[in-house]
Amino acid sequence: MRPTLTLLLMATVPISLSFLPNTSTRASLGMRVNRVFLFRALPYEVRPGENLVLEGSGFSKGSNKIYFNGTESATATSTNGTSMNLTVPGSLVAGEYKISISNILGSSENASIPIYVKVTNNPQPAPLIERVAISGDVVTVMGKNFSPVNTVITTLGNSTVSITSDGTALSFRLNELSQYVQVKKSLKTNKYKFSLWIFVQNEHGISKDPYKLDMVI
Amino acid sequence: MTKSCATIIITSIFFISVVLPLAKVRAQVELPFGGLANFPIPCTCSLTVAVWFTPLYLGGPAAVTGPLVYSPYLTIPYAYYLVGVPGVWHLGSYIPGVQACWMYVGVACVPFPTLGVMTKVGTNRPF
Repeated sequence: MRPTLTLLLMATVPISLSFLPNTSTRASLGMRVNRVFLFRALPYEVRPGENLVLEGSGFSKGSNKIYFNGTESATATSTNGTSMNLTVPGSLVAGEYKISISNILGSSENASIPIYVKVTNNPQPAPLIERVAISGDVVTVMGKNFSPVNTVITTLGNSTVSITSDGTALSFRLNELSQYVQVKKSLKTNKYKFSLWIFVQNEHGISKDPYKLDMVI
Repeated sequence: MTKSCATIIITSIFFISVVLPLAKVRAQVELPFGGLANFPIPCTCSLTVAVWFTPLYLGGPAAVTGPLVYSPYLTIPYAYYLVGVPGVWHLGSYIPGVQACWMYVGVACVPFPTLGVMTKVGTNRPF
């Protein structure tokens, strides 16, 4: 018993006394440091001349060139390396544009992960989740700006079927989520505390912040 | 075998919890974790991997289920290096609340919320 205890202590002390790498921006922790990433542009639908927020990693405090469909259209600076504001050029005609960024680290261009923004004179807001309730395995999401057809994106995967809504509420079953069966199988017969994070997506964009639903699964 | 692995992990986490207050000088909170990996989830935008654990022990006797992120740019792997392999026990430390997993969903990436990002992880050998 004593050697086992000693070994455990030897194993645990280094783990608890180790130090983290020094990082200047917390939000970029865990990201590759020598590359620029563009994750999303908010809002998805925007009017020419309005403000757009870009989120990613590796943004420059100096200068970042912003490209709309490959054409350099704006420059912007970031104070934290992970987000920045810019004004959508007034000269852009209505349509969907692929956005990319370049700076001293290179380009965010990635053919398999195109980031889009829709320039329109009649922008509609993205879905907003205000409240979520669960009854049995049915989850009901209440909020604003839902479309007749929506998709939910959650920690348990995406909805495998389209979810209809009256504009303020939508419902789905847990077993309609793509990874629910895989997770449920791993739980066997036990019950665990779990946080289900939910986004709603439709043709006007994706909810900016996920809703956290604490549950037992 | 599974029971003995679980016993070792739970005992280790207990001792880590006892020793952890000695390391308060650290700028960010780094907590111990231990758990059995179920499956990996690729974070397509951030080029990291979320690993789903059941059960997952986060410094106490209560078990939860959920994902932690393995980042090749931050996490230090230890033997037997089988991070994310289903059926393998993991033991290490993590920083809670760090958003290190982004996934692509058609027109943009969304943050895939996890319990945090691993800073160190070692695994057992399932054979």
